[in-house]
Amino acid sequence: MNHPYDLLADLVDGTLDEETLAEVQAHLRTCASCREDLAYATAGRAAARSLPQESPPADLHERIVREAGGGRGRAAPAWYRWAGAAAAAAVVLVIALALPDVGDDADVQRAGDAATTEDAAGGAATADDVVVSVEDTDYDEAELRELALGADQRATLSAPAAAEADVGRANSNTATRCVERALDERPVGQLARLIQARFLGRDAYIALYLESPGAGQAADLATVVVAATDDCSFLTLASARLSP
Amino acid sequence: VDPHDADEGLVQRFQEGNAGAFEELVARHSTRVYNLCLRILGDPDEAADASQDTFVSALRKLHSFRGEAAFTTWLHRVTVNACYDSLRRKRRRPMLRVITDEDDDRPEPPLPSPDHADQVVLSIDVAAALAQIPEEFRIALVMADVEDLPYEEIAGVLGIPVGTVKSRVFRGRAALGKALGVRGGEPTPASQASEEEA
Repeated sequence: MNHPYDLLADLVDGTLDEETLAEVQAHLRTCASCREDLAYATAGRAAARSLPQESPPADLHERIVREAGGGRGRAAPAWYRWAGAAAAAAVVLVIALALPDVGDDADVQRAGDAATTEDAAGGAATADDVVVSVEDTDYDEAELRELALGADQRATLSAPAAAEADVGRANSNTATRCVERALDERPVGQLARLIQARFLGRDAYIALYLESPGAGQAADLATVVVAATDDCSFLTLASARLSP
Repeated sequence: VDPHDADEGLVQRFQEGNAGAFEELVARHSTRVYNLCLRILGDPDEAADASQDTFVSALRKLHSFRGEAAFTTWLHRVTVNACYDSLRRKRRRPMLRVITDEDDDRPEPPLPSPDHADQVVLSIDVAAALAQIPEEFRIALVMADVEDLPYEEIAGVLGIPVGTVKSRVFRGRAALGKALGVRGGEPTPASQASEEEA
């Protein structure tokens, strides 16, 4: 048997059937180089999978539009002009989201939809469909970790149903903005759950964010962020890797 | 454009003259394309350039897309080709470059919190180690383990047999572990559990 690198890949993935596993293990007993490669490959797989998804530069979209439109001396395609209008509309929607909650709530919800489409893979969080549930609980660090570990990976933006103690969407916008302020406006994934409770005796908003390794895939990282309700200061954060 | 349309539906609508459909495809896939380029090329500026080339190239070729492969497979192929072009250009360029003041002004990668500091340092190490491993192993490894694409799809993107993809992925993983100087225990069939600790 030559070095069975393809089967060793399956072995590291844990997808070999018993019969093939036995053959590969027999080879491993006689081949020191494969044993060494296997040990490194096991660590290498875990390391590669630990790499986070990065956000593209903010001007990438504009650069693509500009280059596709005129960079090669061709006439701008029709979508180029449309893209300009869409980008302007997106800016307006983002501003609408950032404004205090004075207008029609439904408009804010629609703005949330549009922003989600634009930034879905970038992990922007919106208050869309996430309703604050009020709990009479005083959380500690361990309970926060439990909350992160117990996150449902499929609980993306749309999942949490209105809780019994739903205190309305206006409050959920306030809570979302408060947590995002505590995070310096850098949400750590997609907002999946919002709780108004206490943390170590202090009134707090607790937000659960989910991050997925790519568009359309189940989330693999849950982060719980806690902000003080009175001044929106950052109190703590706990995160957990979710198994597939 | 309906954001719930499947990619292939958007492609068809673009071919029928709906200009907004391509825009939606760019919005939907630019993060994934950028990350694939970033992990293959190892440099954010080069990754942004290659992402731009990918979409410009895709725009030019999209009229002839006939749906014989899934759109994502097709787009990954265009992306990998843009990365190969970038790597070829880099090989032709002299290694010397002028260090400017701008280099010092680059922001450090953000540290979200002290709890995450180790994790961020590890990501930087992994990204640097990844850049050291041979190109053909790296490309297969990035698609399999960073982008989490199935081996069959990678085989379609690269135009090579599935067995060859797996061999390259395995050798890429081993090279990455060696570059990092870390070894793991022999995996059990439920080896995925080890990722939680990673």
